Amino acid sequence: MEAVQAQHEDKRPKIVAFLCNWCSYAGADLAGSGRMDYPANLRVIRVPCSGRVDPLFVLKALEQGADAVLVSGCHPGDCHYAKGNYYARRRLTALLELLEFTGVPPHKYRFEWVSASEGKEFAQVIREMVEALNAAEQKAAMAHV
Amino acid sequence: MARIGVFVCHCGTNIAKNVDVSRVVAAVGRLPNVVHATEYKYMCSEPGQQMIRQAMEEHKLDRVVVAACSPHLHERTFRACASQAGLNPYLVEMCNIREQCSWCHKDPERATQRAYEQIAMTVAKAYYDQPLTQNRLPVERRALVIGGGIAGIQAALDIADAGHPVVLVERSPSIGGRMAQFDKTFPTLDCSACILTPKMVDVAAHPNITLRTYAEVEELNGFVGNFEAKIRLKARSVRLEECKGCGECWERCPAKRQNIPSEFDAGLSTRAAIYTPFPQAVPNVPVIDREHCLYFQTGKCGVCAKRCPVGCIDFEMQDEILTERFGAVVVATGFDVMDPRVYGEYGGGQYANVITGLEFERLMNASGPTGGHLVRPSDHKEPKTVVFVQCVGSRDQDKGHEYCSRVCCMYTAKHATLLKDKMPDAEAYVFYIDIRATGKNYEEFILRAQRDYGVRYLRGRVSRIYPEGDRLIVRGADSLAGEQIEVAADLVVLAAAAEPRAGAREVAQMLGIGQDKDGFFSEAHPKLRPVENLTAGIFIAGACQFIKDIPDAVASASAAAAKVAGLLAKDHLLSEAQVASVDPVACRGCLQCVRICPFSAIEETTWKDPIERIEKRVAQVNANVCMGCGTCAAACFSGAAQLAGFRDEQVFDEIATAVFVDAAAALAGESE
Amino acid sequence: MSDPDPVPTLRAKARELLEQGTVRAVVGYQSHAESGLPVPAVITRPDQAEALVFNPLCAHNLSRYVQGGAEKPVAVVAKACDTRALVVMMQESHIRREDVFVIAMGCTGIVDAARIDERARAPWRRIEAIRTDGDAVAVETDAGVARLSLTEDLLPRCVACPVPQPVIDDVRLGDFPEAPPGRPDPLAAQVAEIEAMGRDERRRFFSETYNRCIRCYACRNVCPLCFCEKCFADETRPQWVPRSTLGGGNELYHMVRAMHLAGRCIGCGACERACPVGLPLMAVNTKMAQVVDGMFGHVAGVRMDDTPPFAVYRDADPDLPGHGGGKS
Repeated sequence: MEAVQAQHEDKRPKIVAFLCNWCSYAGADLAGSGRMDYPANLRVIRVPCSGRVDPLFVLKALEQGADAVLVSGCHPGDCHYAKGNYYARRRLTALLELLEFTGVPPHKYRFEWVSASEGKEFAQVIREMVEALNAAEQKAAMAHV
Repeated sequence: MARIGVFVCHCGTNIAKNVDVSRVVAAVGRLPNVVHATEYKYMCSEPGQQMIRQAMEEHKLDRVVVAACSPHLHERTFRACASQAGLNPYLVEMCNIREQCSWCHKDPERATQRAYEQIAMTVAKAYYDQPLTQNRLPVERRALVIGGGIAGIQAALDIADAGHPVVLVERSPSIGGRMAQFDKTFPTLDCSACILTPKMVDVAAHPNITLRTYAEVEELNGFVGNFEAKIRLKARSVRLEECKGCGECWERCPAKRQNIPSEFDAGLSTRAAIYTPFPQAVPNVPVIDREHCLYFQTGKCGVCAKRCPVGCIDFEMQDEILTERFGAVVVATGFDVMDPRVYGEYGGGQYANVITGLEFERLMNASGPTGGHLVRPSDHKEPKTVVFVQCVGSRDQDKGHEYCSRVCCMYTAKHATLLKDKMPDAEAYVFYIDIRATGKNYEEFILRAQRDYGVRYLRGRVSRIYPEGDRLIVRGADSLAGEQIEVAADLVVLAAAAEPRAGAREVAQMLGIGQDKDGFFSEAHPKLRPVENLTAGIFIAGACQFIKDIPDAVASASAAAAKVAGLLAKDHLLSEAQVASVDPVACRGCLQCVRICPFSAIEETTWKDPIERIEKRVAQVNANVCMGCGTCAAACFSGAAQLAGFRDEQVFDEIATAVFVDAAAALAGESE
Repeated sequence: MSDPDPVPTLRAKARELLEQGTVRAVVGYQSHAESGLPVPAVITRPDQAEALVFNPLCAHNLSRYVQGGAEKPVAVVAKACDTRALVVMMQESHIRREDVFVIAMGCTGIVDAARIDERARAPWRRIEAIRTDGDAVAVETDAGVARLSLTEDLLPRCVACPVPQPVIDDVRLGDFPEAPPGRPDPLAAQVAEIEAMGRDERRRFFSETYNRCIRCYACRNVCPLCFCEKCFADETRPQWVPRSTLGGGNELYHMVRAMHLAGRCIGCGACERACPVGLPLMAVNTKMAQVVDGMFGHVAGVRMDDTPPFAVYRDADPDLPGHGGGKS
């Protein structure tokens, strides 16, 4: 029982990541091809473009219990569809303000541009997110002591 | 209830080293809707694909999930594999457990857990996949070229030479564009008309080219391979087929006395009301400018009709609208020269002897208003000192444009060289900020102007130009010498910035193509697709994309033509399969999707609800144009817009699976 | 030309529009048969025009009742602020300009009807008359006169009324203030107050707020800009938002609603007034309006030729944190 419990705890935290097919998904592929080790907490949902990411996806993932949500697409100017990420940027920057205003802890969401050549940066983003989640968890645990 | 088969690849040891494939397969086999789960060493190999096809038959699979490498590598492979076995290729999903799992997570237990969960997510997504098809689109094998400057001419000739019919539409009475206005061309100094005129004649003579001058494209509908254009042929008042171009009419036109400024001579000469813009015009058939024609203004005159030896003047002629179909469109609408009056301190438009580079071209041109004899406009005296001012409106965010106009350094050197060539005693000064001479033989050309022709280059901005007597004082800084200088000039030539055509915005809206921050037409990709537009089937050539010199304009035109020829060579086109759609029942008609679609693939339409029997305005996706980005779906509040393969329910179930599936328990043998 | 009591003119105009067949209906206010409070009314016959009223208790944004798509327009009685909703509806193609005849009413602020209870000396049952009296509104009830101040008792959104002039109108009745009153905005103050809390405190504040929601959807139903025929909150296939009031569905509903209204909400406050459990719903709406104005320079419904802010972009838009000078 204790072992199962430990295993269960081990899979947390879970990060739901929306990656655009052309840049960030390819960036994540590159992180793998370059054998960059990063925490396995990631659960990737591939989307054609960051423009496909309805802010509701982010909010819904959080509501469902994801520990954190990552949205990542091509840098402005690099969108495969030329404009999708510009619309995404407006939606996401507005959503950031809403999340901040309503007090959602910042370690629960991150929006990043990651290009197909930024495998290292991608791995680093995941490491930072997991570190922030672990730190927040420790802080919460301390508060309960 | 779906029948999903899951095929997990070892990729040799690439996956199997870190992911316990057998445990994953056992756990995946217990997922809802999964009727078959298996593993293989190399799933992409022929035996691996054979195994998939066999299993599809044996287990009557209606969905296939392949957990292997990145879909960027083998999605096509496995879709084709399933297709061979009779399954719609879009019922195949790949799950990446190599690049995004075994290769990036060193801890085998955690990698195994993640692999299981990602596969569970993919299974959840696959459940909702629907069979999709690509539409076969016919291709109308004709091209429309808009704009008859050098870029439009080159594009039309190249497409026509490739064997496709071309309609070349030019707004003014003759093709030729800006290049026809130029005197000589840099860096070779060959005469512009001498190299352009034969091409213009080629256009007129080419059996595959239909020339429509004095015409404008008013509407473009449809999509790649299937455009329909409405072209307005403005009433020329002269019957094109009959006119011999003898010139009797414009020689005798009494309106000549009205001082109608010649557009071609940049206003430096006048023309008649019936006119061709220049002697080598193609077609060499005049038009009647009805605003200035005495017959149209007063009802009296008709001298041209009386004089015309073939009786081809037709005062009753009406505008005509042609509706024609095209497979591809080349936009080559060129550029305008910025109005230098913005720079009041330079006196452009204020002092007769402050002119633009384009005006200088006309004054130097043998067929220009002075017969190529350079005189100053105020008193027709030969100038002894000429000052050239560069970057007037270029590289100036405050009053002009942020960009560099690219061609001014070169044409200014050309002007100064030609001046010194014609009048060796004249003095030529050039105020510049930087010299940009990056083309073949360009730097040498600048050096020759400085060294061999003694053109004096002064590095610095001009602060003011003002008259003193019958001369102009040009006050500026010589930043290399670090001093203020004043030059008394007889003539000042401003290198006014080139900018998008005045009507570029309307043209962009009419064609449904984008503009950049400066108003030039947007290319599909700044590096890799420089002559294409995001709207498939529309190509951009010449200076309407960004300012180009002649060789660059010609190169871009030939590139666009090659793209068009490639497109028109096809029997049919295949549309995207994973495209968006709008459910008219849920659509609230806000048309947000219409506004944001990068490909202009969504339009407004009226829809009659068969149950409620009401008509309403809704958005409708043209599946032949949609590229499948899904930006519309994310903008839709009511979920009416959906993207096939990435529908809301698919994403929702991926999220739910990611969050709720407990890999540790599942791998330990507990059922989900 | 000053017209301190525009009601007779309003009635005459409504009658004229209906008699001449210019419009198919007039959406206005009439007194409720029992309470005497102004309530929305849709009249289609000229003789009904006499029932129309307009006074500083007319809080409803009547654009909610405007439907397009017919041959003839609908006339709507609109305060300056209400016209902003009509403008957004036009920008989003919900109605066309020619679908509506705007009777713009001069307004110096709407008073909060809830204050009648406080200002009346005894419990009242029925309002007999409403008169404007200097900078107060005299509400004559069966239990005596309640005087409501046109400065102290205003609805929060009226205190600093940002748009005293109608954005669109076909006829203007009454007197319109030239400029905003220049008083501090209580809605902005509320946002500032929330922002001044720590993040954890804000989280508690919003969690507690949303926990109280009973998901009656009055906020949505009363909103002039919630005109989706299918609302994400109702959908079950697929289910966008859990429908139970337990769990995270409440918060998800309100957060998505905030995003859907960002750059569109005109701040009429109808949602908050309609809420039966008194949730401070305008806090996020006001905040998002500030965000969209600050980041994209867009204020909802104040200019006819604006494009909806999430249907355009600029290269120079604020970037994500850590990318080229965006907000962190």
